[in-house]
Amino acid sequence: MTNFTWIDGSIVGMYLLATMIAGIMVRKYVSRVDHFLVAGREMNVFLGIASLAATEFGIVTCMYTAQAGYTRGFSGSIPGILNALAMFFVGWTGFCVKPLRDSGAITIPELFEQRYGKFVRWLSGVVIVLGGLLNMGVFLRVGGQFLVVCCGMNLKYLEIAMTVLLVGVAVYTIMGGMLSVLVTDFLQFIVMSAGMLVVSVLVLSYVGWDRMVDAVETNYGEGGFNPFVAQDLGWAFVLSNLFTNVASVLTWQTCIARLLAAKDSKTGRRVYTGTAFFFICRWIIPGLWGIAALAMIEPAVVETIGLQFGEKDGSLFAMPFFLAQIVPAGMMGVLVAAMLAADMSTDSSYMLTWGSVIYNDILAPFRRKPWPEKRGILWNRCIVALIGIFLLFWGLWYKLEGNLWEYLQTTGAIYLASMSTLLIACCYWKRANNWGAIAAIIVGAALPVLSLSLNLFVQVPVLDETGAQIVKEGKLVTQGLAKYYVGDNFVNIGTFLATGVAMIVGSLLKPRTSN
Amino acid sequence: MNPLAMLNDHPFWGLLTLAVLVWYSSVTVYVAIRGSWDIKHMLRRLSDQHGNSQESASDAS
Repeated sequence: MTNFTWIDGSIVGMYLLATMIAGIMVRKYVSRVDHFLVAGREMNVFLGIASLAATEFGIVTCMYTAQAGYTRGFSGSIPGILNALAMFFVGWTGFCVKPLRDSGAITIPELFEQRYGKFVRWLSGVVIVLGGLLNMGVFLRVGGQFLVVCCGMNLKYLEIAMTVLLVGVAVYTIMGGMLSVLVTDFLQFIVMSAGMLVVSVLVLSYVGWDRMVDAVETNYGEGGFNPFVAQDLGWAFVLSNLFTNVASVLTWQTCIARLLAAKDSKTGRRVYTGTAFFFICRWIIPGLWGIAALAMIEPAVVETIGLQFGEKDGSLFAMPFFLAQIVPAGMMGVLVAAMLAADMSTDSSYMLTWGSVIYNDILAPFRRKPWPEKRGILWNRCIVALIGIFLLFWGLWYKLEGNLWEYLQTTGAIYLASMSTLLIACCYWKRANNWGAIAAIIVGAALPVLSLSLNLFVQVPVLDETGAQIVKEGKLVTQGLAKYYVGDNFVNIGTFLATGVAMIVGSLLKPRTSN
Repeated sequence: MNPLAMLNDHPFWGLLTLAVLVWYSSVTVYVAIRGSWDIKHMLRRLSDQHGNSQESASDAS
C-alpha cells in the first residue's frame, strides 16, 4: 500500500519533461569531442560541486546506504565519513590529482601511457571498463525495484520501469554528452536535495530520534554506534572501506571526470574540498531512513518483499517500503522525482564516463591518426547506446545476493586497487615501470573476479550455532564460497595489498637498463 | 524532532546528523545560485568558441 497518486504522477512527469528538454537543448554547443567528453573544460567550481554531488547520489546509493543503516545502525555510515576525509585530504593537498590534472589527460589511462606505455594504457582501459560496467550493472534493476516498492507498482512492470528510465537518460546523454550531463545534474541536484531534506525532516518527526536510537541499541547494541566493536564489522570493515574510499577518490572515473573537466587543477581541487562533506550526507541521510525502517517495520514483512523479487535478503527493500507507508500524497511525487533525479544524474554520468574510457583508451590503438570531430562524436554516441543495452540485459539477468555495498566494493575493486596503485606510483615513485603496472593490473583484477565467480557459482550451506544446516521456506540457505570462508572485507584488503606488492615486485624485477 | 534530545543520546551521531541537515540545506541554496551563474558563463564561453571556429573555417575556405 502506498500514497502515490495522480498528483504525484503529474509532479514526476513535469520534472522528467523539464530535465529532458534541458538536456537536449544544450546539444547545439557540442561541436568537438572534448565538448562531448569534458564539456570543453569550462566547468567552474559550483557547477562542479552540484554535478559531482548529483552524480554520486543515485537510487542505488540511497538503497545501499539505507540498507547499511537498516543492517548496521549508525556504524553503517562509516564509509561516508572515510570518503569525506579522503576527498578533503586529496583536494587540500593535491595528492595525485594535481599532477593528473596538470598533465592534460582526459582519462587516467591516458596519463599512464606517458609513463608506462601504450599497452598499459589499453589494459587499464579494459580493466576500468570491466569493473565499471559490472559495478553499474545493478543500477537499473535496483532503481526499478525502488520505484516498484515505493510507488506500489505491480512487480510485472519492473522491466518496463527499467527500460523507460534507461531510454530517457540515454537520449540526452547521447545527444549532449558531458554538457547535457552537467546541466541536468545541476537541475537534479536541486530537486534531489530538496526532496531528501524534506523527507528527512518528515522521517525524524514521524519516528523520532529516541525511537531510532533505541532500535539500533536493541538490534545491534554498542556495535550499532561503534563499528570497531560490532561483531560483523570490526577493524577489517574500517580498513577495507578506507582502502576503497581513498582509491575511489583518486581513480573512480566519475569523480575524476569532474576534476578533469575543471578549468584548471586549482578549480578541480576546490571542487573536491567543497564536495567532501557531502559524502557524509550521502550516507547519513538515507542511513537515517534505513534506521527508521528498522524501528518501524517488522522483519518478517521485509523478508517477504525480498522473496517477491527472488532475493534472499530483503533488507534492501526496507527503506522504500517504509517511505511508501509514511510519505503523504503530494510529497510522494517530490520524493519520487528526487529519486529519479538522483538516478538519472548517476546513470548519465556513469554511461558517459565508461564510454569515454572505451573511446579514449581502448579504441586508441585503432586510431592511427586523429579522427575528424564528427566521427569522434558519433562513435561516442554509439558507445553510450551500447552501454545502455548492456545495462538492460545485465540488470535483467543478474540477481544480487546479499549486501549491495559489498557487491559494489568487490566489482569496483577490480580496477580501484590497481589504478590507484598505478597512479600513486606514477606520480611519486621513479622506479615504477610497465612490468610493475601490468602485474598490478592483473593481480588487482584477478582476485575480485575470482571472488565474484566463486560466490556466483559455488554455494556453501550456511550452518547455525549447533552446526546444523539452516533451512528457509523449504530450501537450504547457502552463501558464496569466498564470502563464507574469507569475507568480502578481507577479499578487498587482500586485493589492495597484493596489488601493491605486485607493482613493487614487478617494477624491481625489470632490469634498470631497459627502462 | 528535538535537536537537544539528539545531542543528549549518542552526541557524536546526533551532532553529525544535525550538521548534515544544516550544511546540506545551506549548501543547496548557495550552490544553486552560484551554479546557475557557472552554467550561464560556461555556455557563453562555449558559444564564443563555436563562433570562432566557424569563422576560422569560413576564412580557410
